Amino acid sequence: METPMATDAGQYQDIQGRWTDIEKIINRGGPMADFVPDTKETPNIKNGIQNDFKILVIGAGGLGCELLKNLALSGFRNIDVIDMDTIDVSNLNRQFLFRRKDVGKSKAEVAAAFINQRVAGCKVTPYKCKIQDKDEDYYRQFKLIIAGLDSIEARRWINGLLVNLVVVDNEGNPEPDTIIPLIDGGTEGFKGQARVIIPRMSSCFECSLDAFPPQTTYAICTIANTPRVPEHCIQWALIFGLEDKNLTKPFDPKKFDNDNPQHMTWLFETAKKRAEDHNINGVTYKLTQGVAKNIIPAIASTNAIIAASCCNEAFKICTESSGYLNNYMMYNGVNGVYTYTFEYEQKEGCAVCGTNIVTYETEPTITLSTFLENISQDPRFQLKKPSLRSNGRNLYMQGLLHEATVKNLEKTFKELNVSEADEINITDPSLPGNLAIRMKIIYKKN
Amino acid sequence: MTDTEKYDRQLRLWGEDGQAKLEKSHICLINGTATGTETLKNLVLPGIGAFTVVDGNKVGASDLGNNFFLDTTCLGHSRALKVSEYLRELNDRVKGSSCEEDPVALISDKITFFKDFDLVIANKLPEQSLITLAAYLYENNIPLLIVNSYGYIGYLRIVTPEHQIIESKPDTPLDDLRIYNPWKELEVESDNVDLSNMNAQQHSHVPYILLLVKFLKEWRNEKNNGKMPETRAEKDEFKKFFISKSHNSDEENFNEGVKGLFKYLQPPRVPSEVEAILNDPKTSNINQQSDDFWVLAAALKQFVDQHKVLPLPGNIPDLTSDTITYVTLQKLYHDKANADLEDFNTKVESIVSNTNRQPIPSDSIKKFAKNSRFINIIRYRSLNDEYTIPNTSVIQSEIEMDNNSNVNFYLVLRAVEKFNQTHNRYPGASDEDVDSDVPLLKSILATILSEISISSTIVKDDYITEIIRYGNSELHNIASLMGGITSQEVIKLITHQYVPLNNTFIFNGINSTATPFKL
Ligand SMILES: [Zn+2]
Repeated sequence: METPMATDAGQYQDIQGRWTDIEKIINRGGPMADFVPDTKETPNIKNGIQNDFKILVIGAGGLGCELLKNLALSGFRNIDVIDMDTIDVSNLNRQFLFRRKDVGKSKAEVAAAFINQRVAGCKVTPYKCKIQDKDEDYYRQFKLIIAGLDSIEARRWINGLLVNLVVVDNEGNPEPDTIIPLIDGGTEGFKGQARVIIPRMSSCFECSLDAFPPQTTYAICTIANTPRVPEHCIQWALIFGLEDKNLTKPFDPKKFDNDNPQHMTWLFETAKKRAEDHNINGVTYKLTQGVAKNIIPAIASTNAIIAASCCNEAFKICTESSGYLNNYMMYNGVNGVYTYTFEYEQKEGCAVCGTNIVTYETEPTITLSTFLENISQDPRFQLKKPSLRSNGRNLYMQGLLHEATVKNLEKTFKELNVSEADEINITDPSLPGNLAIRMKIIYKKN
Repeated sequence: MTDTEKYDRQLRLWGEDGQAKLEKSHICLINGTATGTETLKNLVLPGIGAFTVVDGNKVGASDLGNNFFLDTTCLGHSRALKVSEYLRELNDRVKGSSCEEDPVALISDKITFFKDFDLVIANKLPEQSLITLAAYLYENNIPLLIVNSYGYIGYLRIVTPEHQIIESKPDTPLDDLRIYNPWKELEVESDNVDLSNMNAQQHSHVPYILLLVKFLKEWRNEKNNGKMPETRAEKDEFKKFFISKSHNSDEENFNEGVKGLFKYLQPPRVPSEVEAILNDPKTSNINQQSDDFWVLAAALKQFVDQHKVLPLPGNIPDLTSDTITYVTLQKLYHDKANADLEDFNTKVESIVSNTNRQPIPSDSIKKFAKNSRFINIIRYRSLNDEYTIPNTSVIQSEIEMDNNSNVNFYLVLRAVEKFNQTHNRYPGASDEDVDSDVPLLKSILATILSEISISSTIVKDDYITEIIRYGNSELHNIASLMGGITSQEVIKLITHQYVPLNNTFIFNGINSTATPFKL
């Protein structure tokens, strides 16, 4: 193969006729798009794709590999990719820019090098770091951002940042130049979704948190006392087995590592022993891995479908050569080929993009601890360790003020003087930035 | 042996059995375009056995603008050769070869070339050759997938006479627990539950299966003259009765019983897809040539005729219970499933010996019995039928429901192929023809619509102008999306797991909607 092409993408001279397929779309107007097509004299769109627009891909995994390929073959030449992960053998069934010899290397770096070598003229710049390591100025340079992440936390973070980057003028209108669209894809087995987020214009990632089902959890007392299925035994090994000083381990239990085969073998054998003691069948090494690492099945075809949909939207946003996805497409390939395209609406009181306050109906007799439990389980909020303030008072705080406020837990709202229409501010480490959920309390009428 | 480490994330979906089927398959791709190679990419990665690319073209400049499995060094070389080379790099377990002949010539002169493949994917094949190939493959029981990307539009059609599914793997499978119709041992087990002698801990840990069986029997005998609750009022009354047996509303086992109550009060029923298989002429016509599937279906019919239910799968969900009771209950179901399997097995063996056939492997028999609720069969219409006996009512009602339906694109794409056959070029292929091709394509579309007996004004002119604008362009994103969909359907067809599309799929990349049609 050739050596990578010139590093300055703008200087690259293309082979005549290479982009004829794309040129038909951007040089010709049509009844289903409202835009000014390129002419020989004014190739504005082509210049935009090839020189002006810089695109960021977050994640160089199953979706990321596809996204980079698709963007490069959509004519984009300035692409950044961020991924902190290294390549694992189990990636090779779908992450097609990696080979066996690459196992252990940086995903971002190997992926970028592969694309730069294969697609002449394209320049992908890799960053092996966390997205949180980059500042606002870094993100401001992009025309749009595509996320192919499996972590909800990282998606909430980038979504929060992009919404905050939008400058709103005195009349409350967002300034178009400060809007950076976010296209988000996700897959699981034969299912996936692609969506377009136009910060401050459409619903945001935070608006749709309740679309993600909470992780399967098992009651601790089941795991401790009445195990029934193999998963209970594996969880027991993870929670109690690791802590149990009477069980010998060939490693430091504080440094348990999912990716270490020796650790995983110990976990498997401990779970198996627990299962045998209770006459439970079905603990296998594969299942142990699946439970311990929370493995989600992943295949090349679904990633291809979702990534292609994301990049099709990116191409249309940059070229304006067609309509667009408004704003969410679900895909399910289990039974036939099922898709559902719909507009995900902005959520009232969204902590990130909403201007409204979320109203919450309850009773004055509710104790603070029950209230805390209810909002923690509410899929709309996805809270981890919430702190609550109202009327300038701390109701319940995590961290240093915990001691001082823990006694409030058993008090009712009435006793705490939380009245009808009072606002409670909820902060939580899982909320991006320093955002808070503003919740207005309404009491049920009997 | 398969590479369990590398394939871990997919084995969790289709298992070793599905993987073995993939690894045995040899797939043919006609034309190594972007759509073609994107499809093969997603099949080489999970490890099909082998592929062959048939393509008479040389790599041109525009290939470098949309095909990832080519680079500048490939210019002027055989496209079949080069894409095979680059695709092979994806997985050293997969064999790949190329045939540099023109597929059109191959189909007209040596169609037997295609008879040894397990499945054929055709892309950018002129209509006449496509019809010939489709007829040949249909006759030889080889699945054909026709896939094309055209501007922002994608098209996929699956053609195969009969596709058998043993594991349809629905998202939310109905469990079969026989609560409505317990067998003797289950009934005895539930009779033995003595709630009055239990402490609170024990009381809240009796599995809801046993509770439901027990109290259904009690309620029937005490309140309903031995009859099952049938009307809504009776069911509500039973629900009240059931809840009254709990100590308080915190007993999880009772709550679980209430949650599934109405589902379990439905009389057991053989799913309609399975019913159709049992009543299929092939089931009652077993001979030496019958597929294993139909022999097993015939045995299943005997089983259902005798027992009025399908063989018990034997697995129970996780439910609130103490360990020992749960394990005992599990064994009860397991033993019953084994007894059902043994009975089913005897029926299979007797059919096999009566028809002088090769015996069926016991693994296959077991898998069939365990999945008997999920078996399915799809018979696809042939391409010839689609063209000569068009499914007018489907098209008509689609457009009547929504005159912007994606079926419009199906119709204009048909016209585009006809245009290519007539004029030997695609409409709008060069800039100077964009305007003059409008009336030409419009009249071809009118002819097609009149053959389907649909009014020629039903398709808006916008669809014609838009499709001419595309001028046979292949955008990488649409190619990759269609490659993803097509490969996913190939995997379902090869593994006989999940349910494939029946039979046509249009992706609309303008507003990102997609529609399946049965044409
Ligand atoms: Zn929002």
